[in-house]
Amino acid sequence: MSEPILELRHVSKVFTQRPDLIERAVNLVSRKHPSAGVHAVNDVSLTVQAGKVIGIVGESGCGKSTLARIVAQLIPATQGEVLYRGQNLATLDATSRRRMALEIQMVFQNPFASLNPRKRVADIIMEAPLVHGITPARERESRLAELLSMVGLDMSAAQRYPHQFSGGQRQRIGIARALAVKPRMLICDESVAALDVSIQAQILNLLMDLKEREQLTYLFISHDLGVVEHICDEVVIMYLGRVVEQASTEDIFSQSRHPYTQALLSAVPRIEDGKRDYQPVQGEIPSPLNPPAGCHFNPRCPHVMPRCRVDVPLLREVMPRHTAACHLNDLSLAR
Amino acid sequence: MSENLLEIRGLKTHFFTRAGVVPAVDGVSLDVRAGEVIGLVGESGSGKSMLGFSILGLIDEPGRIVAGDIRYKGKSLVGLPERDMQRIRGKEIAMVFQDPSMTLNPVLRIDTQMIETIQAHEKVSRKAALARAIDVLERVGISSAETRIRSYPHQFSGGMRQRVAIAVAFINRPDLIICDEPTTALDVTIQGQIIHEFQTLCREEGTALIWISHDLGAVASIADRILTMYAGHIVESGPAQAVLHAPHHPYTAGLIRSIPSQVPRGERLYQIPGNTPNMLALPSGCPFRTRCPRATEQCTTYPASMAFVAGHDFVCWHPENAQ
Repeated sequence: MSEPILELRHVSKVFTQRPDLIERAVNLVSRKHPSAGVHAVNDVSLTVQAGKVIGIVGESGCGKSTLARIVAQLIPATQGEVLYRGQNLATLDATSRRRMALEIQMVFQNPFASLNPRKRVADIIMEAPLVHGITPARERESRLAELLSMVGLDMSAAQRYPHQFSGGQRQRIGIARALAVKPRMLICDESVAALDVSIQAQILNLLMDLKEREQLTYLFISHDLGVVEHICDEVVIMYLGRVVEQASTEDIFSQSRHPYTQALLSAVPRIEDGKRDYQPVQGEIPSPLNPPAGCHFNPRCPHVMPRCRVDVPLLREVMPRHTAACHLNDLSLAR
Repeated sequence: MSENLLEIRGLKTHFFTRAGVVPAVDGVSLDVRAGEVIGLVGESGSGKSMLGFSILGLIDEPGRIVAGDIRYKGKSLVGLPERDMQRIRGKEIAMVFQDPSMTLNPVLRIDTQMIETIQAHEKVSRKAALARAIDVLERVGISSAETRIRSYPHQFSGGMRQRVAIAVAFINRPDLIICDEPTTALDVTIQGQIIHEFQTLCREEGTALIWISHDLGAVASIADRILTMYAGHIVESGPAQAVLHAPHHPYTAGLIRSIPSQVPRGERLYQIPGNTPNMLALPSGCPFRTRCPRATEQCTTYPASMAFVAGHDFVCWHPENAQ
């Protein structure tokens, strides 16, 4: 087994809002502690082997994008460590930190919002490698041509502006920009969610080809289980900031051990199933500002027990290389 | 064919832009029977939303219905004065949009908006209207509706707002609801809930549904009949199972094949060659021919509508799954 390219150890991120003047006065008078803030990511540990595709799945507010931003070094973690190739980037000096962080790049969801509309494609793609000295200025044109052909565009695209491209083409430009600094790891944050099925297929094929050619590792964030099943080796299911289940893709899809994962799987409309009656999971996704006590999923869980409203279930190994956080697994009643 | 609730014949909605004429809807014919659920699929820009807007007379300048007829219960809706159209809109035919935060007025409470919808079409007291509004909200799965009806739209989550939008659509018991990507903006578990609400309500009320979506999975789970749209044309229409399992038009087949769950894990996905067409410069004949793996010289003339089995029509010279 190769060494892990990325390791997260008990990573948490809390967003706190600065109290305004009145709130501070009230806190002072009532001697109340300021509010605890939003636990966007709560004690997440994860090991990513080089060359793998790890899927992170969850609904709005589950913290998957926050996790991506922590890994990409865009925001610091409140607690825990992010080890990239064995090094905690937060402890490095600024120069080497920047160099290491460049190896982790992101491809964003919205190809309309993530490209600067006032810049030509050539400048969008080549700005970072020139600034960071990865590509010498005299190789600019040849590198640009290489990058464009890698993502299936030709040189005529270079002098045009983002608005002159369709959604799928823009996503290709976004991928070329990420690849320009020669990353080892790509974080795809809902990178195909905004695309039509046929275009989605093109981009997924492109991502898979690039993975082989450039020997990349992917953190693939998505809410679309169909896409995740297709391209990921391993899947992490998150709910309200916590990891609730983690296993190989086969295991998640064939023998899930958490009611939330099971609910997600049954909620996905698949064309093979045809017309059917839905037995939807009850209830709304609770606000991360005020998550329910105990297991966060308890108000919506069909198997809820009194214990679930009090104790937080810990992530335990239920089978080799398959962890889940559910009290049912203690009773071995799951599934 | 008098049993049809809605009959569209040769409808053309064109947009006269500075760059040229965009044939967003170009010769669409379709029938909707009472209580039937129609799934309308296609990629962005295929004209599926514009077809929905045309039915309700919601086409704005520079767009215009240039040809064809839309008959609702035998009465033509094309060229109907705005006053008469208003009587139909929301009462006989309602619409649910993709983004519920756009349909609801952010500065009015939910009760105000729902009562207004009822009183616009019927002479009922405020109290009776309120009671009806609460009842509908409960039926779309909003608990403690009597208190929550006094909230503003921003106090609801996205899924709850969409439920309110659905309640507003159902409130006057219309015979037809047009849903334009109603679950696209929602999370998976909430999408399941919304599809479930639609299924139960339509069954109880006998409401017909036109479900516009690019998500074939969602359409498969609710539709009786599926229509595929490409570049303003309906290229295939038929019973849902037949269209999904033995599509005739190469475009429908390509769409189905490019869904990730259709191929074994890790294998390359099927790609429809090329990009979505530029509506200003469509190829002559079959608009799909430049991307079609089966295209021949013959495709430069527009194909006639054909069927192997009555009720499953397609517009293609070289259909797949031919008998």
